[in-house]
Amino acid sequence: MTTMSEAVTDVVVVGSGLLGLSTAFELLNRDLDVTIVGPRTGEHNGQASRAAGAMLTVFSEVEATHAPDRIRLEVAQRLIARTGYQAWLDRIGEASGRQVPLIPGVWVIGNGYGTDDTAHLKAIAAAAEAHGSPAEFAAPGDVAGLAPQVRASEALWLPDEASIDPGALVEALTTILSAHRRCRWFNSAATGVHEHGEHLAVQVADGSTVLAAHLVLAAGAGVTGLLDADLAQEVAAPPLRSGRGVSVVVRAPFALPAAVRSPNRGFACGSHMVPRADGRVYLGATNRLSTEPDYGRRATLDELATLMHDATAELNTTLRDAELIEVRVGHRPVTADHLPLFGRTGHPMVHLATGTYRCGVLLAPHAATIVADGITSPGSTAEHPYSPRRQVHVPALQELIATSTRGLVEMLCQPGGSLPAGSQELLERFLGAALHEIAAGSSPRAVAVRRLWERAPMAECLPLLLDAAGRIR
Amino acid sequence: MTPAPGPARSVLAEISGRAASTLTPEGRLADLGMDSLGRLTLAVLLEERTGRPLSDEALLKVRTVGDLERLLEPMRHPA
Repeated sequence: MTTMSEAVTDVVVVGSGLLGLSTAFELLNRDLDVTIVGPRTGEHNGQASRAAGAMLTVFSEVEATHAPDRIRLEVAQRLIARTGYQAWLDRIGEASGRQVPLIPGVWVIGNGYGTDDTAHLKAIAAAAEAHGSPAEFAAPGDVAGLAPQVRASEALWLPDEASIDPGALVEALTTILSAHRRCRWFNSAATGVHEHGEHLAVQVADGSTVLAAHLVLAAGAGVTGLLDADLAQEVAAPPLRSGRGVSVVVRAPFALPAAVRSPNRGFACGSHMVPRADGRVYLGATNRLSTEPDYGRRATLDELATLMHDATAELNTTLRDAELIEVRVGHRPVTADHLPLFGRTGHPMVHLATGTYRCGVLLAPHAATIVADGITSPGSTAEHPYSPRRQVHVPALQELIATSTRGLVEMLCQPGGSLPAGSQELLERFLGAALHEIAAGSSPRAVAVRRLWERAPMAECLPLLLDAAGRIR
Repeated sequence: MTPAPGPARSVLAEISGRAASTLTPEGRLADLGMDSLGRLTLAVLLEERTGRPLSDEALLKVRTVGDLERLLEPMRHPA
């Protein structure tokens, strides 16, 4: 165990999730010396990588309400990642001696619970076809493993999507990096970063200091908080928040050959089941925006109840008999415009690999390439649309309230829940009107709602606004 | 005669739904069910009652009822 030591390296990577490890692997392949700071062993509570379903969702993350520009940009970037994924896995397999298999294809199912599901499925199919990728509509009866309470009305097969076990991928990368002669790994958290002469100095919780020519921050939503005040000002990173998610791995009483998911439903994350090795099945996931993420907090019973309820209602009722193997909590880092932060910041020695939200496992090798390019060929990635130096578009609160209350009512009802005819629309309109009045007002409720919105200006904040407004009695 | 509770205890009582007289300086905000949203509403109501701004950062450091009272102290006795 090294203590109070000082290590000098080309690049220090803060973060030991998939984005950090993929970036370290890429930098080593470019003949640089790399030091990783972040837990290698332990439980990895709160780490998004190990809690992820890890579907390689190039198209099925598309929502009908997304702007066409955003769909074009995100699909094109995800497609770059997907196209090179198998070759990347082969390189990892060769270097680690561990093959991490891809399970081909993802089913997207639509049902009566999501009022916009038909529109989402159409948008997903259109995005796939626009990129020359097959998207085949089929009868829900053709979907192996699907036996829900809420009958599915349609199903879309995306053979070019896939799924992978992110835990196995992390372990394979860990094997490579732990053994690499140019890689050093501090099995401990970073506690701070400051400038030290010509270097950046990373303080490690075990008392060590790492001096580096370049720093890659890849430890999720809180990572920019490690920078001291002067450095933070120069880095000028767009704000990051986190979508806290709970997932489980079970032994299911049925065979699942390929992943099955619902579409996203605005800020309410859909349900999905993903096959793992040895007949295990992953079930995900909740999504709750946290303004102050607590990475050590375990899953609550309410999160588990929501997850179980949605999975049995939308995917397979016999999941009630599934044997629970593992519960995981992960924090998905997310920006106000929902686009990732990859590459060089306002400080030429500080680089980001974060903000990947629901697509971190797919985007990891692509992020690694962009970040490494920013280090080995400065300037080459300055104009990339995911550059941390871009102008991040922040939506207007009133605009969001006007368009998102349907999703709010759907979230409150949960799949399988139903309101009497006409009352869904009535509640939607009333919530829209009430939130509009509160947000425009001058009462303490209005102040609380606007203050919360300033902290997390994104659609996922809407359930929190409802909660905050109601707490002031 | 019991003195009227200060703004910290009266607002905490209001948000947590407990009687102000049951709140002690050692009591932890987390034990009163104060999550991040609770702290935000606490900040907004205290600003309204005291007329002084209260930053998220300052409030994040508050662990107990006593911490909160000390944070508000300079407001009650301005220099």
